[in-house]
Amino acid sequence: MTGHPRRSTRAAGLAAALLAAALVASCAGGQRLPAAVEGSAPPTTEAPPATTYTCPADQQEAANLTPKSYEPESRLQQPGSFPDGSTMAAIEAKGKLTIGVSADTLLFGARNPQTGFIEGFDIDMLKEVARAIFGESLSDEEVYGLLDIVVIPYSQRIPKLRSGEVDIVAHTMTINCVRWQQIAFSSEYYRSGQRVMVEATSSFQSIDDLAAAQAVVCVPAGSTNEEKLLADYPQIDAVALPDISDCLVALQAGEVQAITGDDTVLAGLQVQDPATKVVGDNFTFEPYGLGIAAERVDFVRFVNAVLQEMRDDGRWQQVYDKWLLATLGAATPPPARYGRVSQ
Amino acid sequence: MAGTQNSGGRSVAQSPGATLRRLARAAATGGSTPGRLRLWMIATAAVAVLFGLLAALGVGRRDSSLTAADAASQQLIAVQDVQVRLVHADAIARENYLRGGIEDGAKRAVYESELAAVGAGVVSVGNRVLPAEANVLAGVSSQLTRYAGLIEQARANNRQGFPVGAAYLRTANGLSTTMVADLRAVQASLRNQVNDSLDSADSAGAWLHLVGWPLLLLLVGGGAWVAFRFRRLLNVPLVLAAIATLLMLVVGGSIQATSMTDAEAATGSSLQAADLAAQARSAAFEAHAQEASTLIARGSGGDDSAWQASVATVATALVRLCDIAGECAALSSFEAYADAHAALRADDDAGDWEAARAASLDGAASVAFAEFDAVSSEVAAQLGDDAAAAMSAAPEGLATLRVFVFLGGLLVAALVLVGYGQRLKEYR
Repeated sequence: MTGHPRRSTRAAGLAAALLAAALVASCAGGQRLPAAVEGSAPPTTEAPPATTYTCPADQQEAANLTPKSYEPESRLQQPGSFPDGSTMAAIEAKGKLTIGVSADTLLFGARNPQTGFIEGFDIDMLKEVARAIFGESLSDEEVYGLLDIVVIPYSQRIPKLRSGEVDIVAHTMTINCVRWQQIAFSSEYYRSGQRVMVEATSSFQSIDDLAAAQAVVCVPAGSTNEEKLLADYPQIDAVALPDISDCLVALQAGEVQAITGDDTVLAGLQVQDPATKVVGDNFTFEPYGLGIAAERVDFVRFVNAVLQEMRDDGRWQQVYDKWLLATLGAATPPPARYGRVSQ
Repeated sequence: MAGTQNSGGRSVAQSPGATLRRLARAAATGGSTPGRLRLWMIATAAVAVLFGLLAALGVGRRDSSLTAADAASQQLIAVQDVQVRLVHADAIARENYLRGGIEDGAKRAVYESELAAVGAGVVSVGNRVLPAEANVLAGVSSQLTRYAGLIEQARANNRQGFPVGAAYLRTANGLSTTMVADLRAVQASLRNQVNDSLDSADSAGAWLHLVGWPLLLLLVGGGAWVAFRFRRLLNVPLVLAAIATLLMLVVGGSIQATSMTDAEAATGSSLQAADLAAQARSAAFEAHAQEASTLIARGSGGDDSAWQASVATVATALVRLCDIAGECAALSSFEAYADAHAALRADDDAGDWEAARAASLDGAASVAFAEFDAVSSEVAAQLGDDAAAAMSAAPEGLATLRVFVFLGGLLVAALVLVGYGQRLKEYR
């Protein structure tokens, strides 16, 4: 391949040989620069085909009625005495409660950059669940150490539960009948609703104003907020971004005119940007529940018992007042609805 | 076979083709001896002048093509330097975000200087590349301003503990990825320019030989005919002309060929090695940045696939670098970092995020990466210098050779006129 016409001293008279060499040199390619290196990415696991879930007629509830959860387990169960084979015993044996949460939903689940801890209303709910499993007298720091925190985006809340990667999800997740076909929920631990947030100087006063103006509205992808927006306000130019904090970036950059999401989440965004306001009434009914894998009915009952105690003994109120009172005003715990017998 | 009545060669030629035909016929067959002498003289002198022109053009083209290859290779190295600094700055931005509100001031200073160097580099390279690449670089320049703004917003929010900072950081990182893709496209184009210039230089090498060897045959053949016809052993001017032609072919051909082999050898060794080292460093900083992002997202399901993809690029480039240039120190230091990364991922996946974060920011992984950075930085700089020196040295001497062959062609033509003129005089 090479054949570079290096001079050979004895070949001075060999015209033909030199000519041939010259011709070879002009035809043969020498060293060239190869294209850029491409490292092959590891094979990605193929996503299973999306299944469409629907709500069976016999499970449909009237509007503004939270789907029922399982009756709470009577609190005879204590750390160290969970029934063999129960979910609680397995978690206690594992030594960690694996939780799926948000790390950037201020007031509900957000990493405090000064301390590195993830904190908020959702986290405190799960701390109480962890205390019920590992010991009621555990300090805040001790119980935090027993949380195995998995930060997940909205779109991963149900998949992570179904794959068993997390024991419980507290991620501003709305209880509804369709989701009940895929996972189980605790009783309602927070009552929210969808509203809109606009810049403080904006003249939009409600979702209807935005629809009339065919405004560009950002919504977290894969959320019930997105479903509601697409179904009821088709005139709106919806922009779905992976996380609602991406929506705040888009709003601050002037790429969208409004954000829609649950009032609680919008309140967290407003804390971060005083140049915004939350406007209009709730136009959805969003009962929040803690997500648990569908087959772990024992754990749902156990968590419902914990939540019921919190409602009754004032701990729910303490947690609410700590995180939300200042931005959302006074509230009382939403009532629990029990009576679910099977999936 | 028309127009044979003008066998004396006196008439003005109607076309070059007709002239050549007539010359060839006269030389080969009929005509008087002075007529033949005159024809040989004119034909050989014309070929000698043609040789001078074509050889000078060919050598000139090789010279300019190798100079262009040198320029493109230096631009390639410069663009790669810009890219490495950009991904380095981005890695520092993410690392400092992971630190929380209180940044590492020294790293922050490095971020600032790297970003400034990217801005200056984009402009400086933009002035030297072709318009298409210059446009892409101008786009990078404007994206860079936006990128810096997003990073500042991420910082400001992070300092106040606002999680929207992470969204700003993600947006900035996405922009950095776009800029890197643009810079990669410019590099691919510059690699093509290097290769195309080498191809062009390569093909220009034939021009010297194309007319040179037929000229030598004419000189030798004509000289032999004159010697035979006039019963003289040597016609000195014709012999000198033949020697001069042979010298130009052999010595000039050799200089010309050496310039090509030197350029190709530099391309295959130091330039390719410098290219690989820069690619490895760029992908390594990307991996380091992804490590920080995964920790900022606190696991996000422990998705390490982006890191793995970058590391696959680093590994491929470093293994080739080790093979081609024998520079294997960077490979072993990167393996040390990859081991430390695997350990911190295991910590994070096991739920010990604090330990993983500490390892990434100031612990084993950080130390190992700094070691890789130091080793690979030195290797890349050395290879870049070597490549630049070798590529710019390759066409040395070609400019002189170009003048030399042009004047040589004229000299040969003059000697031919003198040589045949001596014999023609005998007929006056």
